[in-house]
Amino acid sequence: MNFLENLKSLLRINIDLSKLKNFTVKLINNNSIQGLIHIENKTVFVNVNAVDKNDIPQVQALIKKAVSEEGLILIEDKSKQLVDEITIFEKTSHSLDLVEFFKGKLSSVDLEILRASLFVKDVYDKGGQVGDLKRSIIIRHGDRGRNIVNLCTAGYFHSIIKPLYLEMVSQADFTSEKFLGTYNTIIMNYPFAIFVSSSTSIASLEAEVERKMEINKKYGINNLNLHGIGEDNIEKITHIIEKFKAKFTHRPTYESERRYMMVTIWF
Amino acid sequence: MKTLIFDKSAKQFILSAFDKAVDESGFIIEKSDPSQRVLAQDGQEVEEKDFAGIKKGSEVFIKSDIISLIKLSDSLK
Repeated sequence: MNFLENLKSLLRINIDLSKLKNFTVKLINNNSIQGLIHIENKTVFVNVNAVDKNDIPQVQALIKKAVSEEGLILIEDKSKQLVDEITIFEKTSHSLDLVEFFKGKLSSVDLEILRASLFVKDVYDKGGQVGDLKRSIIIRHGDRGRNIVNLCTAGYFHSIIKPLYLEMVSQADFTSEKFLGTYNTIIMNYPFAIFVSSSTSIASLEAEVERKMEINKKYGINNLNLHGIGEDNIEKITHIIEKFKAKFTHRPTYESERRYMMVTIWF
Repeated sequence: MKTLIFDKSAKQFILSAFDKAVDESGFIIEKSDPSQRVLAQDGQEVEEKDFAGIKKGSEVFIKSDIISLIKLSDSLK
């Protein structure tokens, strides 16, 4: 017997289960809803708040049994939704081609972050909120996670890192260590970009722009990209453009949408 | 994926079903041994706010961060 059948039997619920095949079962705990079961939009809501306190241990035992014997995955609704979105995204997009390309070339940790970052990029590109998703990567993987997700969502894995690998591997003296050395420099320093965040102060942003301009000039790189999402960060970038304009050799080039700006400065 | 879904309001009920509680720092612990914090598959302790679910296999605790959920989606293929 499955969870609902067992629940019906235990609590002597009068419900026709034959009509509920392929329905989702959802546990809630809501004291403003009357009744143990209600059905809406192909979901059977089981309100544990309505379970008699003498029956609670047995209902909890049924939940445990559903996991251990029926093999059900007990999962919070928001996480289930995210798993479904991830599954659809990975099945329908070619984003995993990039992960496949870098398999064996990057560490398994970086591949894990890259894979998550590609999903974050997709959510962002479709206008979704990515703050919590990014934060969860950063909490797990720190600065390296932050940098990879920023570089990925800005398209740098496609536009710079993959072409970099292809160029390096064509050289006679190529070694994976050489590539990884350059790759790690990009990940930890990304000399060609600055990602402006809400925690970036104007003073620290000015200092970082100054620093990267100096470093880049030393290596013969004469441009730098500034990325910002949201009005406040876009304002910070605008301030930078005004502050440093005397050092520019060309007019900055802009790529912007309603809530995103990328500016390339030339010096 | 065969699932039994719960919303946030039912979290405590579910944790109690699995003989778990939450300590004063917000970590999920064994009711029978409050000094023992529950570990997710990645070996990390699980905070109640990051608790996303449980799957079979010695009660594997699932965390709600995107990397944990990607690993879950892999395990379901």
